Amino acid sequence: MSKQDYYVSAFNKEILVPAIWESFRKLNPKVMIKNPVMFVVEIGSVITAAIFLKDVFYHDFKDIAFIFQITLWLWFTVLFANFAESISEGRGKAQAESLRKSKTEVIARLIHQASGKEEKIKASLLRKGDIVVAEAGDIIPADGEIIKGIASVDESVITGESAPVIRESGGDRSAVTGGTKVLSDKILIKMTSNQGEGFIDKMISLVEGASRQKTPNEIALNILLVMFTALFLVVVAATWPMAHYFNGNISPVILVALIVCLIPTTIGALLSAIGISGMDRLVKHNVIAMSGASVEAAGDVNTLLLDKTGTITFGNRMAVDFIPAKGININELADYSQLSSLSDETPEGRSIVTLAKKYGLRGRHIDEKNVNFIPFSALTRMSGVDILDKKENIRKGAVDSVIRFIEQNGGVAEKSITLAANNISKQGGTPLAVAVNDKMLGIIHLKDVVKGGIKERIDSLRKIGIKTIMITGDNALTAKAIADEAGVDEFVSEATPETKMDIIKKEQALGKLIAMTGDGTNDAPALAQADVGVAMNTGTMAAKEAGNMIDLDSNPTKLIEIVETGKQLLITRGSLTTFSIANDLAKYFAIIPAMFAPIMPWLAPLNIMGLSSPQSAILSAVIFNAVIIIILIPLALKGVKYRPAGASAILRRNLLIYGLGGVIAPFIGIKIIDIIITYLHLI
Amino acid sequence: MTATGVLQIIIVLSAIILAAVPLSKYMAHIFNGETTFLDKIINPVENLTFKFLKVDEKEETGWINYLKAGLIINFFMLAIVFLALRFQNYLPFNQMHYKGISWPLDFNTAISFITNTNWQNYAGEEALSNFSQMSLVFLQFTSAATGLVFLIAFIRGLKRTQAKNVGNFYIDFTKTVYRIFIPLAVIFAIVMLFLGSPQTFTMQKGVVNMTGAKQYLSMGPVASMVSIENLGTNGGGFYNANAAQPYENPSPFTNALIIFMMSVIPVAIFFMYGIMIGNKKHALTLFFVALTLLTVCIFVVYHQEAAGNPFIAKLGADIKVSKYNPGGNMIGKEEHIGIAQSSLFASATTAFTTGNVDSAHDSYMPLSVMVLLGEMMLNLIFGGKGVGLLNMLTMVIIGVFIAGLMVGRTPEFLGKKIEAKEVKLATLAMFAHAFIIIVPFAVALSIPAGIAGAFNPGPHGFSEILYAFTSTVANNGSAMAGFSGNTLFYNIILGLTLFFGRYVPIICQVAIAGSLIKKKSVPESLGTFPAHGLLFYSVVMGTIILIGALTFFPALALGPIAEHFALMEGHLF
Repeated sequence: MSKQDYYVSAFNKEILVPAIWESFRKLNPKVMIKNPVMFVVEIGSVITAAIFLKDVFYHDFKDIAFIFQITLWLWFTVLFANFAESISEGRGKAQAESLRKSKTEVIARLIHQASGKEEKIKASLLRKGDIVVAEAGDIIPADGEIIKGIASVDESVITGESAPVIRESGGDRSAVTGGTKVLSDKILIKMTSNQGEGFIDKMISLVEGASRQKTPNEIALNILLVMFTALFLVVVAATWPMAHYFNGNISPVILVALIVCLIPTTIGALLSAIGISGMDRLVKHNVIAMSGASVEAAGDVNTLLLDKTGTITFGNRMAVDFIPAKGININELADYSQLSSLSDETPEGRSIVTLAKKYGLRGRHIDEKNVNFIPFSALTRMSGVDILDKKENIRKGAVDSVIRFIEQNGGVAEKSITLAANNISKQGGTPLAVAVNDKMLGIIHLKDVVKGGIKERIDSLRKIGIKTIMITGDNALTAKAIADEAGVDEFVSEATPETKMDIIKKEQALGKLIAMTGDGTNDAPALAQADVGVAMNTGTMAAKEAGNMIDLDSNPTKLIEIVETGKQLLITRGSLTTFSIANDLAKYFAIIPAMFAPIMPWLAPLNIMGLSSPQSAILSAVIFNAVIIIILIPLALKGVKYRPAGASAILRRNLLIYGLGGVIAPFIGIKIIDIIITYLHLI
Repeated sequence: MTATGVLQIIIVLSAIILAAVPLSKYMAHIFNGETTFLDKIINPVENLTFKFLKVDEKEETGWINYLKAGLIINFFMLAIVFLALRFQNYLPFNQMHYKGISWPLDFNTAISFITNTNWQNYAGEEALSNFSQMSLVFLQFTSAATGLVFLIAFIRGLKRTQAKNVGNFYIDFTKTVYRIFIPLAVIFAIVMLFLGSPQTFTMQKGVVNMTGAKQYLSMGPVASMVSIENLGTNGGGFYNANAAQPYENPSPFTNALIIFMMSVIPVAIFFMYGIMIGNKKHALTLFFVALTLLTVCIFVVYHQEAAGNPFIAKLGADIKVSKYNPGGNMIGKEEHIGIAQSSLFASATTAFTTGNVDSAHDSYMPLSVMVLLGEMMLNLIFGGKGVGLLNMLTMVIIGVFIAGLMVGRTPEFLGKKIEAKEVKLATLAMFAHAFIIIVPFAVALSIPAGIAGAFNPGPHGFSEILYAFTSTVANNGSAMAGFSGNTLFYNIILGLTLFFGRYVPIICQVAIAGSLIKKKSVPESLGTFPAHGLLFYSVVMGTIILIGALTFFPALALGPIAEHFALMEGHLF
């Protein structure tokens, strides 16, 4: 299985170099104003630059080195912020590029609806509603729905999965995606989207950040940052009349430096990079979200609705055990079971053959002239094989049918057989009886097998407070057995398509957020109703349109990764905000004694870091403030480490690292920078 | 610090907390519409009032109408009292024929009392008739009730889900006055009467003093005013000297009683919140946040005052504690009250936003002054009636928003999602509080009329002006002294800071309630971080201290902190 990897590392030359140029281009105030925090820094940089120029032209060289360096680092602060955003956008573009390669210009075979004639046109000219024909070897020109025919399609460009999939008209497997290739047969496809609006296009524009809209939490956080910026503007502006009261004067350069250090530049600089890379991480999991808001909602999910089949279990019942009847050797039972299943190409049949191999039975050939295969029929509920030369009529099937079969041949079924069969049913399995002529040989235990690792994942979901509900059409007994094995919190058995909708509505009425996966048209209303609806890429058009995410791998277990990505996005934002604000304390201790030194020399003891001079103290704080942005870019892109745990554990950990760490780190950082500045005689 | 001093502080604090428990239950019953033991007496009076006002007891309104009702009533009372002060010479109980003082001062005084502040730019006994004093007492009841009632609306906003109505302002307001403030005020007025406070309509009484000279004693309905001024955390005393005047505060015992009166309801409000919200652990956590801050403040002040002024010690003064010497910094303190009780009183009056003083804060050590300023700047260490908890909940919302993100969910507080609207309003309230202190203060520092207010030069004078703005915006009302506020400039600007400092945050907070009440309640799970316990305590504490420090550090550095370091080097201002 080879996965297509659209994920591009941010730290390569193709991304870094353009990002540097982009950082300068973003200095345009019209662009900067979208980020109010950094816009304030830019205005500050312009002011100090103007003061620097004034001093140069008026030959006032007293503080020129200081003013120059402050100005330089303020510009760096702005550029670093732009760089962070550019690099995340650059990576998005690179990912889009690798997606776009899958989308070469295709020639479509348009069928004129009036005449029925075929015409070859460019795919870009196709409109919604057009009908095209595609045969083996053709590339499907755009997203559409098969209206006639059946074909095997290679969808590896999108899913990375090399095995072809079957697509056919009607039913749940009628959707085809532009860019995929028909491998066999001929189909008629009705276009469901205009060119440029297909899924690949949506995906490209999303990872590029072109259609990125601010998410609800991002908007709230932005308000908080703007208010803090406003607060610090007032606080710092007021220090000027305060100094004036003591007949002192504070240089505007220092005021600007203090403002920039106090306003939450760290998070302000990294906020959009965090958002963009959050979307990127989903792409890494081969999931496209239709909006950033749905990614955030994924982090909030309280309940996961999981289909049993396909998500929790493999969906095929498999033979797990042979239970011989009294007096029958288990090897004999295995032998006849294998014989009866040789022509049975169903997954169940194959699993019986596989299980029998464990009893030392290799695959074998039977002379076809000698045997008569009895296919399964709904009427007899049995299948089997008649071996003509040995006069052995072997049957395998529903227990009551097989009992009737041996009774017709004059045999009697022992009570232990029905007991064993009932026992299997109680455990949620399916019993299959095996008999030859009038002799009951025993029972094969067929079981729906739970996917490996699913229990652990459900446990980790429980740890983070997410409830799982399993839905299945099975009877309550079977459902309970699987539910117990997988460790889900609740299950709903004998579910109909409407059941999902009912559960979602019920949970939502309790104030909960629900996530679900679905692929069928009858899932569409529930997908639309759910807060996070993940449609499988193999699903129908209706399902894909109703959901707010699409999983290109069509792997329902992906829900769990989606939830984690959503959480990680919020955690990264919160942690860096905390860090940014916690940093301010140290900056105060650096700058306040320095800026008030001329008017209030008694404040010297506040210089607890022992910074060498007022100017180097202020410069160190400004440099720290700028450099920390660069240092944190990888964290913003990668996201804060997320481990499934309860809210308290996560919060405790992040508060210690980003809260307490945010208070302490700048004390150390500023001191080190001060030592370097002093050593290099920069001031 | 002495063992008896520490013991005094512990006893008073314990008494307050113990008494607050039953009081909180009683208050919760009232606002939950449950029966109380006073129903038989109060129900008929209340029903008569509602009938007279044509208020339907079952009718509730949304937050906008609730807020409107409260503000209109407030402004109406403001106008009435302003006129009563302005034209006191035409009104009864004016034995001394005092005239209306001046319009700027009347403006300042009326706003000061309607905002529960009681900043006093006048000397009560020398300027106001008994009628005027009693009109201020009227506001001491209603302003306290106003704050508490808005908190009730907020609590309902948190508690109710997918609802619209926060309650009926008139009902809540009447109940607060009738069932909480009047009964308590009556009891404590009688107690104060027995402990030595006068209660009379005589304004002055001539007596022959020990030297044989004739002396006039100012008096009036003092006991009743002492009672409500403290119970309502108003702080505006009958006399200029407030609780440093022996008629208001006759003994060390009344001193402790006054501290008790000003603190018991604010503490009870925290417990009541827990009962009403159905989450006592959460309320208790917030209580411990406030209690920690209060205790630290009390002991820093006590330590500073008990240690005394090293400069004076160098000059040869004896500041050591001995049998006959209380030691420490006794400047501006009453001998019979002493250092421990004065420190406790000063910390309590600034924490509970009462503003009543029993000693001259101007003469406190610089770091004590910093603590007192800090308590008012935070304005949430229990705080005034209702507004203290409202301010704390505002900080909780900001803290929970940031911390909540760190958990990986849209932040929730008690099941309600904290989204853009709540963040906007909460940070606006935070910003408004800081803005209304800092900007007018900066203006005052920049113009001669402002600088003229301070009696002292240097950082000390700086602190005196800062104190005036902080006290008025926090609706505290205590004065540092060493400051002349009765000028046209200060009467007007402080009148405005009083007004906006009170109403802007309240409007934001009630609006938050209006937004929260509409929301669904998200059920608690392992994924939601609990609104109680040590972790929540740390988040709230961290938010309060960090935001408080970042906002006010520059001003505190230039004022009390600079003065402290200067003092260490032997400079006085």
